[in-house]
Amino acid sequence: MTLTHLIVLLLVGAVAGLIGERLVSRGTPGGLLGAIVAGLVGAWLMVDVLHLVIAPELSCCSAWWPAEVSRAVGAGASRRSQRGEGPPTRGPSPDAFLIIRRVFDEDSRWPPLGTWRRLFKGGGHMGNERWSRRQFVSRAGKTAGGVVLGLSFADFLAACGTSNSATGSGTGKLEIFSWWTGPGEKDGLAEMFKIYSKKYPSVTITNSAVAGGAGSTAKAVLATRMQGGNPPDSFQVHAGQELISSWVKASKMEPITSIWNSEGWDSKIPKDLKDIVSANGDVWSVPVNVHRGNALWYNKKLLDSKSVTPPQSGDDMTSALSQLKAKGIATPLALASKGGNWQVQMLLENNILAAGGADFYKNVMAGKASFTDAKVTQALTWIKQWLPYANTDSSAIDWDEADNRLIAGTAVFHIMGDWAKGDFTSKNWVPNTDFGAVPSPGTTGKYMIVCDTFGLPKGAKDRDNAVGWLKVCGSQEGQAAFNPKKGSIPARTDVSASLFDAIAQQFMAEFKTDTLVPSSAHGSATPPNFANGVNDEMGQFLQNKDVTKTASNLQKLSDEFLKTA
Amino acid sequence: MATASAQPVMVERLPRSRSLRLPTWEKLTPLLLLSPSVILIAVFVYGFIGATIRTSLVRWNSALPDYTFVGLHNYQRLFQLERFQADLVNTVHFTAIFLAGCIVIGLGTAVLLDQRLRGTLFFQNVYMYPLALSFVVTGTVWRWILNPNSGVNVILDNLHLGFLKSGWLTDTHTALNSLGLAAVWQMSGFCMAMFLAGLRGIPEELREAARVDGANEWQLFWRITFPLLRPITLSAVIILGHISLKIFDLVYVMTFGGPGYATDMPSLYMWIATFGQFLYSRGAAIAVVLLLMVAVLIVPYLVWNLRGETEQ
Repeated sequence: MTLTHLIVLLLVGAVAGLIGERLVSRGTPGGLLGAIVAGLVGAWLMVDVLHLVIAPELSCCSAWWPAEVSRAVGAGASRRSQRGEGPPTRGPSPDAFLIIRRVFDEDSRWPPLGTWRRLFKGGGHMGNERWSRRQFVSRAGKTAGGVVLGLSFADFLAACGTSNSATGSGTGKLEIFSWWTGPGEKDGLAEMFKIYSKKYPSVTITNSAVAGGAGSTAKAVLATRMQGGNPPDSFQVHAGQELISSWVKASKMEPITSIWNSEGWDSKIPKDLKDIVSANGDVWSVPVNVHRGNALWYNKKLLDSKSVTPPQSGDDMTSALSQLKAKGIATPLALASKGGNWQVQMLLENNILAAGGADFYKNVMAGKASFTDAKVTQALTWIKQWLPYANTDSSAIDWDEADNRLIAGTAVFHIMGDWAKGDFTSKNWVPNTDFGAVPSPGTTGKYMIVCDTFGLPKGAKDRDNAVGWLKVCGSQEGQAAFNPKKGSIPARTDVSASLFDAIAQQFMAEFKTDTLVPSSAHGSATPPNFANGVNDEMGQFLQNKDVTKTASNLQKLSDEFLKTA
Repeated sequence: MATASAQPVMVERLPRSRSLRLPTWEKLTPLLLLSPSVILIAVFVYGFIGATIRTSLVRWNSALPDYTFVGLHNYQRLFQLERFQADLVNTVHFTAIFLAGCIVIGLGTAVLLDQRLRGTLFFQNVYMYPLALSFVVTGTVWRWILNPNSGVNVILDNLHLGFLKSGWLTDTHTALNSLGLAAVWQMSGFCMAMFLAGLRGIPEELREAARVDGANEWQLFWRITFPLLRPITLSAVIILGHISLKIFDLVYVMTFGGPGYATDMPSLYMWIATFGQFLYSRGAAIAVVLLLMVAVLIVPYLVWNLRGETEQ
């Protein structure tokens, strides 16, 4: 509790107490001090006693409650004065009220308590005046009303007080918003915070990470904050359309082209990647890491023991799956679709890339080619051919549980981004011994970019600190610290490969030479309204397995969301 | 003014001094005490309903607010969507399962507990406890229970009842019913409490009288007890009905609307459309449809209630 807090609360107590006095037409002993204490007692009554006692009995007549209240108050007060402990806690109370109670406890030796108890007790006597039950109820009701009034003020002012103190001291703070709360990514973020703190020791970093739903919850929170004009200083966002089609288009972002140029990132970050984060001639965010979306993970020992080789094309995959099934593995393909079917959308985009090549992929995702094209139906047909070899409970499992099926040996293949590698290694599986990775069927020489970036919102409270943060994000040091923990590879090509495991080294080498394409499932290629619509379609496709209908529905989505974008 | 100046001075005095008198505390207090909540409700409930309706009538379909008026286009588009059509069917289906399950189980347990046997207090509490949980907790637990590979299927296997095994939440045919199962588990205790209160409120004399007239226990229940429980049943339908129309947390935790659209609900789609797809107008349109659906349920009840009060 700050001093301002205390003063505000005392003032509010005084106001509430004075209103109460006015309403009951009787002064509390002790003048202003008495009023303050009375107000605080009233607040405590409302928060701790009344709403909890009354709430379950709302239908009851109002004449019932004074007796109940007097019992509760009497019990609470006498217990406190006997044992010198706080009032009984019957449920979580908001912060402000804890403070009120704490203040009150310290001052429990103050006299008016007894008076107030007498006021409620029995409901008959008040000084020399004899009250009727009706009068008593009406006056007590008014007092309670006054207290409620005071309380709402207290809450309001306390809230104002907090936000004021947060905004008032502008410099020296940095709020970073992300959905990095899982193991690995959380540690990577902490590493970058360390580097930042070394460079800017006087800046306090607030980590406003929002957990849950692979970022969907965080994105909802971010949307509310951006619309409400209260952006974090910098926030995590997938490279490309996820940012450009939304916040850049709404002109709520500041271009970072000047930072990009002054830091000389042109020579360190591949041009394909720069193109993804650029629009209208400006750069909008700094890539921190690169994940590969098109990877096929396999249980190496199991695959070898069945003498099957990792498939190179979609048709290879189908025959590999049927061989494995014939050799006794019922569901050789692990498939997850829990949490909105984005995992199936990754299958689709990888297959479109395989069937149509990089240029067709980029065109179709930009609305310049049709989803009813034979290349897309080929991609869907492959998925349809693979589904009989996949587990049927995909809607109940997420990608990490699908990984577990590989480890358990009930499945052999899993098509997933390279975050699966971090999951395998954390479960003590050794790269290239227990498991291996190849580009997903038919996408050799192409690199599906899933890239996290940080941008600079307009109206950031600590803009200068945020600029410093972006520089750390793009620096060699920052990326070398972050990526090994996160399980991704650096967006810069000059980070030493020796920090990484064998599979990451292989991917880093390919990142330098492969054609880079942005992922749609992870927000880079297409705006979020399209990607979400595709998720729904893929959920339907798992059920109806209707290639033609799905292709035409995808085209409808493309017409609605890609052409206008 | 003309009439006032025409009047003699003495007559004028009295009414003016009355009209100038300040309102008394007695008159002002209720207004003062009511005003904060009236203002807050006007702004934060009705104001926002108005804002939502307005948003649903414009073309705000990106992060950038766009207040171009498009009439009912968003609603037209919404009702054409396969997903929203599935949502409406699911809502009706789910509400039917949920209401029927809660009322049958609630009434059944209430009648059993009303028999004044030993231990009824204990069971009363046991049945009430699920109500204390949030839907998120219920959803998580039931998701584990219904996991096809680890939960109740394993028990069925061990009991050699393998033919009862099911995909539960992963099968499009059973997913919605499984969801209903969890919801009924949570809310039937509440229904039980309401019916129990109703049963205890029926005077024993009525039943005695019926018994004297030669009614058997079965007739007693259907002709005396059940009709007297009608207001309670109606309240239960209203309260459970609006919970089921607005259900979000349970679906979010248990299935996220899957598989396919099998368990998708308007509220979940509203959230995804607004915050996932930035289709603010579509989200607002769904919200308005939801509001209307709840109003269809609540308004007749309120009217019935008000009429009951005025009759008294």
